Amino acid sequence: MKAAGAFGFAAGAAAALILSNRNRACRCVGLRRLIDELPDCRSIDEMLEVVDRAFTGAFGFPFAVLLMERDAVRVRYHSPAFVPDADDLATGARSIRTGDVVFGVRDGQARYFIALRTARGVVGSFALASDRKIHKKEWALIRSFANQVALSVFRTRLQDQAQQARALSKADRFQKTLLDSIAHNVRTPLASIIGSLSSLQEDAAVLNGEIRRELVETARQEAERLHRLLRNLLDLSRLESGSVQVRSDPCEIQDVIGAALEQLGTAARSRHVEISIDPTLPLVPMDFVLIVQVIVNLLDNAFKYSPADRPVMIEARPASHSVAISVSDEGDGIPQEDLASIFSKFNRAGRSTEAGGIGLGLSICRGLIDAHQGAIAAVRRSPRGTTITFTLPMQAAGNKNRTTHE
Amino acid sequence: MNDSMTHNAARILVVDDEQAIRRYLRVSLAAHGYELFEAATGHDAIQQTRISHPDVIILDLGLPDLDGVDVTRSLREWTETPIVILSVRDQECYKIAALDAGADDYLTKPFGTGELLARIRVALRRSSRTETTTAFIAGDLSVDLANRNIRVRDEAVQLTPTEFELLKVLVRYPDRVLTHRQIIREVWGGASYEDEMHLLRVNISNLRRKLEADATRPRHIVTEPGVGYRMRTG
Repeated sequence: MKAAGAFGFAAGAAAALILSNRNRACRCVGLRRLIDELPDCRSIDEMLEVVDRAFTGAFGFPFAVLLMERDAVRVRYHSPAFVPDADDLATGARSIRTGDVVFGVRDGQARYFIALRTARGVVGSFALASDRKIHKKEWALIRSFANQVALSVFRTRLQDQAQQARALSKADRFQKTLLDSIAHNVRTPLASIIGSLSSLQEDAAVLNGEIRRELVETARQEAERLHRLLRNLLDLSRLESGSVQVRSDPCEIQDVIGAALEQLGTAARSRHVEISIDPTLPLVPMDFVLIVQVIVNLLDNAFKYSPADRPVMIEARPASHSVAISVSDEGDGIPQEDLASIFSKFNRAGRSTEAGGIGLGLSICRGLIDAHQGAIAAVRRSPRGTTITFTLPMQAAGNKNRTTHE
Repeated sequence: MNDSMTHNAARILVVDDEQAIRRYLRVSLAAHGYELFEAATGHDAIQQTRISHPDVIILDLGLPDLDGVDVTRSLREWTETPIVILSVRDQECYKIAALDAGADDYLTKPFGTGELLARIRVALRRSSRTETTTAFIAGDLSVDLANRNIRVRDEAVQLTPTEFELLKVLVRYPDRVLTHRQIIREVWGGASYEDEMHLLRVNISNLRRKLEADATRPRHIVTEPGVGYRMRTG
């Protein structure tokens, strides 16, 4: 079949020769363009567009590209004048199986299926339809074309695989860190709760009132710790899924800080908190609940990481086109080199896990402040401690249809 | 504990499909002298309310048949029995929906027993009260609405007409959460929510400056973040 095909179109041979000589130069340009442009293609589709421009410009033959995808031959591309049917797919599959050129005739048209061979096997078949004889030199150029296409498919697929592997392993690592972190942070309080409750149940006879009260108090505090952890995890997942709707209502800074202190309850009442709010501050557009959450997380951190007898300071003042709110403590502070990374997930700046928490608080703060088009940063205080400052723009961002009433 | 004993055998209907929660409430509320009824579904809750006439209804939102907000709405068609919502849903939109539907209070699970008992006491006070509150003393604040006499640490405080109206609304529902919308409707009639929201914040801020010893840690006018305000009289 192959032998018959190569010489079966004698009528067109002379014309083809003339055409081929005249167009040789332009075909070489087409091939060179292909070689130049293909390495820049980032996807198979992009690559096939380049192939179409170069091949159609140089040869004018209708063509199709069949690729092996998940163990099946699929038409990835075809010229309008050549729509491969089931028979064509079968012939293409044969060229892929044999790794060779397969020739066929359909409706008085010659069809060539050139296997796209690569170092890792045959990736598909380059099919072209012609109603005239293809000259030997022309054929050599077409084979080079097909080789370039094969190489390019191979390279793009490798890139895709590498990228998928990278994305997967990143997601895997994240999931593993998250799960490890959750398991640790859930198991620790659960151990205290189960331990305390089973003591109360089993050793009731030997426990005095004081110890019983202590066990009950432990169980309760640890359960509340679990609750806070869960809340932070939920917030994080809402932030990441983009399902947090940020409102923009004019709010009073004093009210926001007051609500945060109220939410912290005894934790805030047992510490000395110095509050300083610039009295000239106007109402600031924000999502009240989310900013309360930010301040709660910042205060909670300040309480955890500074001595109980040292004060924690909250300050609110006007900044350029914004309001700046900062929370400062007199703890050990954060090493200079960690200041930028403390807002990343699960970072605890080498602090011990004793103080609890999962290190999610600050990344949630950043997520919430980002959603307000604000900024958040940490600095070391002199002589000791940390100040974390966030800013909120005075004008509601992204709310063009909302009027302000000053 | 003694305080709640004074509402001798007040009747409480607990509506929750979680048996563990019902058991916990049965044990701890009975220990405080309340008489308990239970329902596990919304329809059951409505029927139980008709039959046993509870003094307070403690209602979960996530019921198997009806949503708690719908139960609240349908109860409100014929009864004023105080409803305290007890739910795991902690987002403000749920609280606002339940309160606007006619619930009296909202407590998120998990909660402390002390907090729940306090809310029940407020609800019982409301159901037993025949006249609306016009005067009360809470700490250093004394309010006598009828005589427009507001005093802080025994000194008379001057309020603007809007501030007075606002205080009147808050005092009319002592210890209850009022949503922003509820307050706005009562004070301004609520033409444009956005404009009035701004007025509400400014007036609350001014009221606090006049009534609170420390406006950053208000003891009387408490913010319920994202939901509204509560006048604390206790």
